[in-house]
Amino acid sequence: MAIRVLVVDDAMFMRSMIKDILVNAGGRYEIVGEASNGREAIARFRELNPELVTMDIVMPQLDGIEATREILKVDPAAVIVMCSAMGQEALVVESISAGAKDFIVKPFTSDRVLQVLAKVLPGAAGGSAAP
Amino acid sequence: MLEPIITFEVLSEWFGLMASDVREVARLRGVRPVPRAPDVIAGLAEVHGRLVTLIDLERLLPAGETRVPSGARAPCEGSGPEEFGVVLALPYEHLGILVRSEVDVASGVADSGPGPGGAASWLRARLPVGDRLLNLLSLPELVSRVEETIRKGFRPRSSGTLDEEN
Repeated sequence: MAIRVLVVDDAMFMRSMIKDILVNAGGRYEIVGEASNGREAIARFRELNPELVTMDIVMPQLDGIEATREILKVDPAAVIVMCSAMGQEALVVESISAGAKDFIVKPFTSDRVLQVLAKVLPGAAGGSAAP
Repeated sequence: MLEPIITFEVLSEWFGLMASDVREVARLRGVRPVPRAPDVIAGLAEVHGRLVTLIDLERLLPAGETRVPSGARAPCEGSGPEEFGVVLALPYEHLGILVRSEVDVASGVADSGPGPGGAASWLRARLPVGDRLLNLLSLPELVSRVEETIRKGFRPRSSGTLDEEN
């Protein structure tokens, strides 16, 4: 059974990169939705109840850290992985304190993304890209 | 009223964006190519801590004008001319145009009549500036074209693709 993923990033190309990595992971992931800001992420989470959220940190309207806090109020067991840019260490630490399970640094590589997701979701074991 | 226009060259053509459509012009320290990304994406570059998706205008232009043949694109990293990112003034997206020429400022009248239309709807106007013709880009049309291309997704994987990423 594929793991249902919500991809949150204000940059369409970044969402596209994540989607490409996950849909090429041998059927282990299914992209069920996308959001381009924190508010939309919360709404989509309530609507879709995904098993995993990839969450950008710096976004308009509501940032990824606040969105993470709100989503965890909705579902304390939500699995959220933050997507940070280089140089955002302080924000990553704050995200983890807010309840995010792990983080990946942009620009992404397949191996790193799949490795992190396999770590936070044991059901996604495999950890390497599709052949 | 004359307004500032950020200008640059792509191949042999002269392009511009209204300064109000540009957030900043940044000297790029390195552009990271993204394997299998849509052709119009030149790569990613960090500008003040934000990752900017760079548009390859050479690839985005309609075929038959300044479009370069496949494989003729200059390498993104390493040698070559200095590279600039003309970061677009957009509320959400972090998009920029990769420029491998000098970036300059000219003046022009933004609303100088209808644009060329048709296949060149991505142009807001063609403005005579001095003895040259400036192709003034339409920001909404440019973004719309890029988004349309991104929406089509990445190129399919082939064997060896992963090696490109590492």
